[in-house]
Amino acid sequence: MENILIIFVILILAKVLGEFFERIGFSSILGEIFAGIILSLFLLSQDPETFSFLAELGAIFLLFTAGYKEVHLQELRSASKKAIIPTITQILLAFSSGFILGLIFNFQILESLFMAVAFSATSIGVLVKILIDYNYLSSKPGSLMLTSAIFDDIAGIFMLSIVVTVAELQHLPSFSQILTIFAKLAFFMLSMAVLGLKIYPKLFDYIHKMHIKESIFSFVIIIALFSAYFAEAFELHAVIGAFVGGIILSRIPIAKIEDVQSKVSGLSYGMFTPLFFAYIGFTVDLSVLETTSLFTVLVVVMALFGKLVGGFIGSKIVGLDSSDSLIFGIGVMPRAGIELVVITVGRNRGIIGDEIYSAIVLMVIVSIIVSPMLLKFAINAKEKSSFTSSSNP
Amino acid sequence: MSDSGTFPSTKVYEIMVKSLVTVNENDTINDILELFKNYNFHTYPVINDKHELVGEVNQDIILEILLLDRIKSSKNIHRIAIKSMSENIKGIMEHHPLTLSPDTNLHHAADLMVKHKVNHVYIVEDSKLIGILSKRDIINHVYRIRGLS
Repeated sequence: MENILIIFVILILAKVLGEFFERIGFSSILGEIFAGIILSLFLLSQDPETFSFLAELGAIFLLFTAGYKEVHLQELRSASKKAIIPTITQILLAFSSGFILGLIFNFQILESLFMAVAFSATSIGVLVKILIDYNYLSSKPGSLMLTSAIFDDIAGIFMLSIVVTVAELQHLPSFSQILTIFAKLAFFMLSMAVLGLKIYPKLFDYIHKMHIKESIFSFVIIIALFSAYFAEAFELHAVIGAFVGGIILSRIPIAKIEDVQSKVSGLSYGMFTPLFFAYIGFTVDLSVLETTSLFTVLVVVMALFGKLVGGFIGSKIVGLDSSDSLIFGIGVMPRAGIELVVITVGRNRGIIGDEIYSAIVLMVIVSIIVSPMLLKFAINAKEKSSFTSSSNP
Repeated sequence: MSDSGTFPSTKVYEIMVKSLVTVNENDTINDILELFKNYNFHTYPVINDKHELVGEVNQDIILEILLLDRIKSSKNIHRIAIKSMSENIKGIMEHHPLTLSPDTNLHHAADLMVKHKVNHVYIVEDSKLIGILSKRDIINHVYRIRGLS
C-alpha cells in the first residue's frame, strides 16, 4: 500500500470513528485506536516503516502540545493542596498493582516497572462533561478530580523519565547508577531552564523579525524536535524532552501567540496524534485479546481497581465521605494518554512483549468505556441516598 | 508607501493608548462581566496591586467558562473546567501576554502585528503596564499622517 494512501486511510478512519465515539459520549481516542485495529485487520498486514516513524512523531507532538498548551505551572501551584494526598494514594496503589501483578506472572522487574508506570496515569477529559452535566464540577470530589489530574500528568512524565533511563541500563540500577540517573535528569532540566529563560527569549526576538514565512511556527517546531533530540543525548526519551520543551516555550509570549498555538494544535491533533493512537491499535496483538487470558483480565481489573481503591482511601483521608470518595476513585480511573506512550517506548526498546502491550491497550479501551458509566451510576446512587435521607428525618 | 516613509522614527509610546481599562488579578468574574457590559473591548489586561502586567483576559475565555456545559469534550475541557472553578481573575487569565518596550520602533510593532496576526500588544516599562497598542491605533496613525501630508 502506498505511503500516502496509508496516511489518508488512517486519518479518515481515525477522524470519522473519533467523531462517532465523541458523539456517543466517549473519548475520540477510542476511534483513533479502532482505526488502527481496522487497518491491521483488513488493509495492511505488515508494519510499514513510515507508519511507525509518523507514530513516533505523534508521541513527541502529543507530549510537546501537552506541555506547550495545557500544563500551566501557575495553575499547578494554585491547585488545591488537598489534592496531593489522594493523588499520591491513587498513583501509589495503581503503581503497586501493576508492579505486583507483573511479578506474580513472572515478568522481569523492568517489565513489571513499565507496567506499573502504565497503570499509574490518569486522563479525566471524558469525565469532565459528566461532572458538568450532573452539576458536580464544584463538588468536593469533582474539584479534587480536576486538580488531582494535573498532578497526575506531571507524575506520569516523571515516572516515565525514570523508568526509561533505568531501561537503558537493561538491569536494575545500583545506588551510584540511581544517582547518575538523577544527576542526568537534573542537568537536562537545568540546561532546558537556561535555554528557556536566557537563550530562547532572545532568539525569538530575532525570529519574529525574520522575513521568511511562518518563522515563529517553524522555530517552535524546531525547538520541539531539538528538545526531543537533546533529551536523547542525556539518555532520556525524546517524548520527555518534547514535554519539557513545550512547558518552556509556553512561557515565551511571542512563541505562544494565538496564530502559532492554533497551527501547533492543528499539526498535532489534526495529523500526528491520531496517527500515534492509530498505530497503537495497529500494533495490538489481537490474538492476545481473543484468548482473554487470566493475565489480560487481571491487567484490566487491577489497573482500574488500583485507581479506584487508591483514590477512595486518599479522599477518605482528606475528609470526604464514602460516596464522595467512591466518586473520586472512579473519576481517576480513565486513561488516554501517557500510559500509551509508556508502553510504546517499552515495546520499541524490546522491554515489554506483546502480551503486556496488548493487555494494557485493552485496559485503556475498557477504562474509557466503563468509567463514564460507573461515574454516572455513583453520582445517581449518591443523589438517591441523599434524597432518601432528607425525606426520612 | 514604505515602512520608513510611514513611520520615520515613530516610537510606540507616541501613539499607544495610555488611558487603560484594566482588571485586577483579584477581581471576580462578576467584575469582568460588568466591564464587558460597560466597554466594547475584546481583551483586558490583568494587573496586580503593583500595577504590573500579569496576564490578560478576553471574551473567548469568559464565553468558554459561561458556556462550559455546551462545550464538546474534545475541546480542552479539563483546563476550562479548572478555570471555571476559580474565584478570581488570577485563575482565569492567560499568562505571559505579548509585550513591547515603549521605545520600540512603530514599524517593528506594525510588522509583528501584521506578519503574525497579533491584534494588540501591551507596552510595559519596568514590568508596569503603561499602554496598549492595537492595529486600530496604527491604522489611525497612518491615516492621520496621510491626511496631514
